[in-house]
Amino acid sequence: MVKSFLIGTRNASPHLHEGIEVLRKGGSIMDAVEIAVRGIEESTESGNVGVGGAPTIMGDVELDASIMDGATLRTGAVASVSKYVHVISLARKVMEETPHVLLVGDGAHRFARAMGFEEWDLTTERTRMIAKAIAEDIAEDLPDDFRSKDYYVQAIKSQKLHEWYKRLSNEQYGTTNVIGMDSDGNIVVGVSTSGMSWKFPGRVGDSPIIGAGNYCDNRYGGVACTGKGELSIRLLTARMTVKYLEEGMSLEEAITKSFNEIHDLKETGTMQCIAVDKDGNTMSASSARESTHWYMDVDMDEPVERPGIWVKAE
Amino acid sequence: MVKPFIIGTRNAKNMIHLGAQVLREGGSAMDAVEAAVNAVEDNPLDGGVGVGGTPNLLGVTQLDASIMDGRTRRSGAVAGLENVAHAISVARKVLELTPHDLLVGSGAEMFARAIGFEKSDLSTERTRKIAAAMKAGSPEGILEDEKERERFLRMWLEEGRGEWYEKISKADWGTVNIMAMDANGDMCVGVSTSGLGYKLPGRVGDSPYIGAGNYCDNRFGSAACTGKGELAIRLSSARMIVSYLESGLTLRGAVRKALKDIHSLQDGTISCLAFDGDGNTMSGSMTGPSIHYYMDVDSEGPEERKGVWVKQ
Repeated sequence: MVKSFLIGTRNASPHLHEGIEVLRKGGSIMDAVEIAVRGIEESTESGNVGVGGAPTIMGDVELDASIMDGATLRTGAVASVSKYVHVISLARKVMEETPHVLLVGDGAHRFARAMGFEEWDLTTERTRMIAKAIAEDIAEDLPDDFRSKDYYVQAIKSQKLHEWYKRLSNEQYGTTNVIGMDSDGNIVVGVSTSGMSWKFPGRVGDSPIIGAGNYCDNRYGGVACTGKGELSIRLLTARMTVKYLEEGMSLEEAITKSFNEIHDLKETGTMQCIAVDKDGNTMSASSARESTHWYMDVDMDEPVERPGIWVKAE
Repeated sequence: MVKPFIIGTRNAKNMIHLGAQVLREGGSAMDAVEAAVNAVEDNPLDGGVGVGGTPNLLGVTQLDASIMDGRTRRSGAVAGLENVAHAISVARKVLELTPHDLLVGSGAEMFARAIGFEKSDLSTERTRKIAAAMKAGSPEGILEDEKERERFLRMWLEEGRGEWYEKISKADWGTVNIMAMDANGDMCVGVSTSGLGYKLPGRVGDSPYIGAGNYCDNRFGSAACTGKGELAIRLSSARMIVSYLESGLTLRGAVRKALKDIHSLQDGTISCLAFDGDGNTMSGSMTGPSIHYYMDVDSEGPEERKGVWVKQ
């Protein structure tokens, strides 16, 4: 029997203990994952999750999140949320209170209001500065109001914007992944992000796409991704990794196979993931560099860093 | 070598000839799929796709669509798109003109406008009637009440409301799936829908969800789904069908396995449409006999083909 534990990406490490505290007080593994992710969403430190996240070309911060329950394969997600910070909790509400899986944009705002969520200004001094700097760089003749339609048309057609994207594509994207497993083997995966920097308004990456950036099934394991979401969407990386576990591969073999498929696409951009199997083994991987993840169980005082694997192109 | 062909769901029966014509003229699978899906989107009598699509709880028609290229496995999709009829064409532009895969909500509409899509009125007499009836007849006056919080909480949390919703939304979905293979062996899958009738605003089903409602890979085959999209999302059904083909299952076996997986959730049903790299075609239903329509470059009209009924 495993001890209940959480693992997370680097940006989650300062908040894992908040989730572990929930477990110690008898909370569920879903509560623990949610609380840890909420901690990251509220912090302005990460720069790619929750408040202070990376802005769109129009200067808004638009958040995506998803949560999945490996016991029931039920899931909830939201995308393109610009007025509420705790999108992981909103995603959970979609799962629990609606017959749907994913709510987006204004509809998601409406639902958040209905559920009593508090409105939040997600921009910070930093995001406003970034937005202005990018706008000045990509627009030939910046209108006073860089939120105008004219600016939008200029921006999406700008070669400079696409150069920015190219430069971005080998950076670490800043999604947060937290996976929890309790002593009964229940797995929950939570993913939250502001998505790709300077994205088009309304752009959705892999984080709220169940199967791409998030998947778990108690019988086999759980996986969450960060990186260029457009790659994991094309392959359904999280879903396929869990399927490879189902076929009997080890965690390392399953992830290696998935990441080789990413390399086979021969696209720019990188992918990272964290994962657990049904026995409570943990792993992380990167397609571009050394990989680590952070682990904390109910008997620990602080998280420990665990090495992952670097899956290089064959 | 497989003759270029196109297949579609029942609601595409009278539209796939437009795609077959494109293939006959040497056009790509993607051009063929787009042409046929556009015709379904333009048909106001089709209450589940494009113009005349069943509105959401607020009386507004919101469209979801996706298109996938089996050669590059790149895809484009839109969700929650309002005031544009040809959602599949906007999805294709997302694929071709942006570094992204999916644009949603007002961002999707802004993108459509910026690249020249005209504003179109998606409402029809039928949808206006539905919207008016919901405004007048729904017991809680869900449309005029400004107190969103109380309104939604009443709807979802109070006794009986969920049942009411289940009843009115039951079976009111009508996604179109069209997929083709061209002379180069390139595959393309197109999916377009107004989604679940009376959905919560902003609800996204499986149609624009690559892997759930749409997937193709030139090496193995193509698959698309209709029905309760939430189920296909939970299992990545379209992706799994293609993956089962890769594992060596027959087309029929792959479709059966994917729908058996859905049965195991015990939460509703979906249907699917698929073909493999040899040009075999198949459809599957969980609730009754399944059919789909086929045309190749030599066909004079759509041929009805039987699929498989996958029982519990």
